[in-house]
Amino acid sequence: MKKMISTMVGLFATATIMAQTLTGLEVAEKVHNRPDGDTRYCEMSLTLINKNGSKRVRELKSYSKDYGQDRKTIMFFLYPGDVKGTGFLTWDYDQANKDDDKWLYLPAMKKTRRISGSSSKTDYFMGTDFTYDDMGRRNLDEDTHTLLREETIDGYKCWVLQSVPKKSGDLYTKRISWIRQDCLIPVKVEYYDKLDKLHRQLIADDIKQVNGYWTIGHMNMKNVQTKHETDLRFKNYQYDQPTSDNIFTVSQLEKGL
Amino acid sequence: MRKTLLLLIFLPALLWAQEDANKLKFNYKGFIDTYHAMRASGDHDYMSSRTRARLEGGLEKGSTSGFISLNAAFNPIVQKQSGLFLREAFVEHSQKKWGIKLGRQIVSWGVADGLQVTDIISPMDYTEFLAQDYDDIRIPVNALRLSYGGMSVKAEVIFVPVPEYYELPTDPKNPWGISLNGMNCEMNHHTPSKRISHSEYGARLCAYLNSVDFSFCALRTYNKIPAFSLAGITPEGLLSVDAYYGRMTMLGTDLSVSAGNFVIRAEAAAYLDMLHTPKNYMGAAKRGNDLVSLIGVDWYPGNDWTLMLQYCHTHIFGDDELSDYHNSGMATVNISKALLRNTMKLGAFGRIDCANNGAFFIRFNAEYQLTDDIAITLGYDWFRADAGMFALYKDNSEVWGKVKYSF
Repeated sequence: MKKMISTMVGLFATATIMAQTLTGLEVAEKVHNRPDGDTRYCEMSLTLINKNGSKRVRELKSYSKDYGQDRKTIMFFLYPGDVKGTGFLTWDYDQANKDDDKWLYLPAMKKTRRISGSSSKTDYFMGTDFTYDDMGRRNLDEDTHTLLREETIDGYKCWVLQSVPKKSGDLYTKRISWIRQDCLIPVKVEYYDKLDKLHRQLIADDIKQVNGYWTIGHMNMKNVQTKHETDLRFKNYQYDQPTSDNIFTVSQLEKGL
Repeated sequence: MRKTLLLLIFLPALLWAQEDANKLKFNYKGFIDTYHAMRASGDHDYMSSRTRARLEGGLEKGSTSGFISLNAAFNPIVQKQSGLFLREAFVEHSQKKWGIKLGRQIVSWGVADGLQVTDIISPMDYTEFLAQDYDDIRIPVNALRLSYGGMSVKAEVIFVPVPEYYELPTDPKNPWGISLNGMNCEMNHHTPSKRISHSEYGARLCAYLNSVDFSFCALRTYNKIPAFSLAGITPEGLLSVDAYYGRMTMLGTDLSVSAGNFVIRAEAAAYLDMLHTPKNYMGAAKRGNDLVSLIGVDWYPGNDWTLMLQYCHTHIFGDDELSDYHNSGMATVNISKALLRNTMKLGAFGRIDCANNGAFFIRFNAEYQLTDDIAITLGYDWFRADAGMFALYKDNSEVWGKVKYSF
């Protein structure tokens, strides 16, 4: 009995020490390294809703593939008609000091254009409330991460993580994320502006496992200052499908998918 | 003839498609738009008036696909622009490393923005000068293209049995019709006969690497803009002009380098043994060598601003009889800004003729997306010139509007 109590106390103590010693960076790393397959495909529907309730829709499909810590992504716009066929190819490098490679294909011009790899991260993606940075993978070294506390949201235990950009020029001065501990997905994120006022709020739900990987089905990003919001729904998520390297080329960008 | 050609082009794709209809992919897109422009000075007459429907369709099965693009247009000012027109129609097949593309297609080489340096296979249709959508200005060619490559390198060879040439309007009723020395013209085009020995062929090698893209190309071609020579006066009082096209070789290269918020672009081409218009259009066309070089910078400062600057310099080697200008330059400025969550786009594209006292043509436009499918655009085309190409259109400054429904 004594041995059992001693073991339980030991386990509890170990768990407590682990929880106490988990740093913000370690939590951020867990989220960054969350298994999401080597390849992935999905279709996205973005609905932009202004404060009067008027809606605009953008639809696109995306393929991506990991090459070690780097990731290549190709996406094509499906709707609205005037941008249908426009393609976007990104070679996203994990190294903080290495600019991404990006190409834009404009079907009306029949031409692919290399675009800046470091700009536009803070621009809003196609007029939505998501920035290009939100749509991609932000490098861990770009922020200072602090684990603030633990909280429970909708019955799920979450880490509350504060991430402060190291460089000025980002849209926000700090980002606070509620990360579900069971699936390592941020289910709520708050972005604060330079006056430390809440600027945007992200809610992620419809979280389920697809091909064994935790997957977000729906996200809502709301600009609480302008009351504009964007609903992002993911469809037909597929992981680890055989995906040729040739998909992530300028030739494929010009050919379409 | 065109129907037969289309059938031949699409037959393999259609037959293959029928083998397994379940995996056949079909997609389409298009638009209906109406564009009208009015002269900003004088009689305020209509400069352009066109309404058109564009339909583009694609069939795809596995690694084989077919594409067709058609325009149905009504243009009461330029009658020959009314009707049903085939723009592109090609089949494409690709394997892991190689690909083939056969049919009528727009070929786009180089990195220049709106200027042609190495990008000379698909010429320009100047029927309404540059007051058209860019994809309608480019003239497709019937071509066979073979490509081979992997992730970062691609090699391409192209064969065009019958080259296409610039479309230059001479109709005096067309406000964009060209004239020489203030007189309307009748052009006698001396295009090469349709023989295999007169075909166009070339190759291009492209590399896409970290932060840098570059390519090298070579093309055995013709001068797509003719060399002019005066032949006399017609009984109708028109200036009779002979337009000559001669064999030439183009050797070119281009480069794009990404550096922070900037992309630096450069492109150069040597036009070897090219036909030139003689001085004052008198006498026979003369051969000479040109070097065309372009440098450009694109700036993406964020907040949906884009600024693109270019300078393109042409140097003509040889004696003074070849040209009035041994050196000439064209600069371009392209600035755009998206507003109101990308529902409004403001832009201006300006071309400045540095060899002619800074003569310029600037196209301002403001596009507003009324709905996801309907856009309305208003614009102003501003010409100021007393010499050079833009002087032909010095009275053509215009206001214009366009409504476009996309599907």
